[in-house]
Amino acid sequence: MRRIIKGIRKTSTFHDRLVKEAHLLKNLNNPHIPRIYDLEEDDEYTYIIEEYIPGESLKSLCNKRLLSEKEIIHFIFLISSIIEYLHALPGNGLLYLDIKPENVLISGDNCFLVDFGSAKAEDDDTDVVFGTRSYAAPEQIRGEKLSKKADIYALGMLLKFMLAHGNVTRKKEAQLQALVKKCTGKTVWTRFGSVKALMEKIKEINNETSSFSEKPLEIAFAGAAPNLGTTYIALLFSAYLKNLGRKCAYAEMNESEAWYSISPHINELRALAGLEVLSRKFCENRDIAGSDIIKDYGTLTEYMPKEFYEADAVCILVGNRIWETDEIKRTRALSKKCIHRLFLVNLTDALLKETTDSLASEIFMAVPYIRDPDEFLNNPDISSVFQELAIKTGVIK
Amino acid sequence: MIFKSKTNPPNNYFNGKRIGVLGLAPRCGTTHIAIAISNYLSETEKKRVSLIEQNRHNDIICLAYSLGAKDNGPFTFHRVTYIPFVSIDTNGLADLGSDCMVFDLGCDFKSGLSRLLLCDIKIIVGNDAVWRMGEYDKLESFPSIYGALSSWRLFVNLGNIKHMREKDRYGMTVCCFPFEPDPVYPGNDTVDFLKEAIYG
Repeated sequence: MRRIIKGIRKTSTFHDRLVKEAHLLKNLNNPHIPRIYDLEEDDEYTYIIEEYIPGESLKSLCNKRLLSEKEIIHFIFLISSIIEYLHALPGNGLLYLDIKPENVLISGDNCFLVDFGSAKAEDDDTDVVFGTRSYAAPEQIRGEKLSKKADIYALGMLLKFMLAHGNVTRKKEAQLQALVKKCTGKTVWTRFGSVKALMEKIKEINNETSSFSEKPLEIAFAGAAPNLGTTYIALLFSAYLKNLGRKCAYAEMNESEAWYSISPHINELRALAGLEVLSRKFCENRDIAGSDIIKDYGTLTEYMPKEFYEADAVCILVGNRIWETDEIKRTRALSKKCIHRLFLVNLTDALLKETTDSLASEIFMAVPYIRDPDEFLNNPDISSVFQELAIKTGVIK
Repeated sequence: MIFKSKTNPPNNYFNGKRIGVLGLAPRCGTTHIAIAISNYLSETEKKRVSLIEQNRHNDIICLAYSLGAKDNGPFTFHRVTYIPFVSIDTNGLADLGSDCMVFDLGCDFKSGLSRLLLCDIKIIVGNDAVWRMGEYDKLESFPSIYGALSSWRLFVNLGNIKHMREKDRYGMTVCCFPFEPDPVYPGNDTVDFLKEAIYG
């Protein structure tokens, strides 16, 4: 175990605060709180010998990259467990009162809570602790008597911070945002009763893994017109499913060889997701049993093969221009035999009223233009679109 | 000499400035950009604008029906007069009394080019979507004299700044057209862009 020695000049204005904090930490025994081994002093300095923790603060980590869903759940659970430990200390427990990203140290998969300068016992009325604005509970800012609910508020704000700097699926984000809301109620009685209750909820969310369709699916893609980007979206969706861990292949079911025109990007996609691209002829002779298959039929016409209509899901790409509403109507008529169809309004993240009116009573969603196919799995806005598509096509239940 | 006579018509030949918009391929955004330009000229520059469809795609007729029109004839919306597909009748066009005429020349590049040469501002529309990169091949055989003139523009829909430099080789002003969900009501980005790109 590596140790560091902090020397604090006795004349420093921080001396008393730091020594008080060190005495407090010395009595704590939690794997996520830096251990204080000893305190020594001479005439000029007090020396604190404490555990050395390599790593960086949560704030600086979030400035560098987005947190994954798994990390967010893991870290908030660990930090909550530290707060729960403090609240359960003998006596009436200890309030930490300064939870913020700067005070959370991330070291690999582990995280530590540092800076106990604001911590105090719940029944200690001596000091007024203000905490950090935007993380401190309203009653803390008003200088009122504090309870464990003040820490619950700050945990909620910390979770909110992580969600703002994270890459989370829409479903999980909604669940975690509900926790944020419950933690950060303006009045104390609207918040979680205890950190334990919050931890239970986090555990529930963590255990609830997305369930996938058990049988391999056949998903057909077709566009209302040529050049709409059908092949591109079908390829990216295949790569997305592959990346989810599904066995998946893309098959071109028309003779256009459109995928060839974007082959420089397909190469990158293959490297990214191990995507298998099959031509129609190749697909017929290939054993793709047990694999989802994304079939790209090109442009929708009145002469589509029977298997197109019978696919587990049919995705039809349409445009979003006012003068394309007739085309949408035509597309709806041509695809009415489909067992399960949905409309993808391509190249937009802002649907026109005319488009939504034309698609009334249908399942539809907007698909923005994905400029950089290499980046799409790391871009939370884009991956959430594909997640929605996976849910709507039945891949994710 | 034919070029000179087309670009310098007698003052009474057309009552206004002619802007031609020609796409490199179907669905690259020609009508979209023509409508955005018309509405920009009408709303921001306060000009009387006619948008003349000179292709057989019938987008303007579809637009008319979406806006509640009852027939295929010309209609005015948002102070822009839309004229569904007409054959070239210069005398008729001169009677429109517009300050500006925007020609939606569609995407038949070969036949559209001769019509584009009649316009004062000649806009070619390309699209930078990943699956459409090959469409710029048409510009490879483009006579370089066309591009060297200041009246030519290449507007690139879904443009990627990284690719813009490659297109400088065509010799004309190349600009990324901003994302505009509704060209009938162009947003600030589009207005700023057109101000710079058309008259800048």
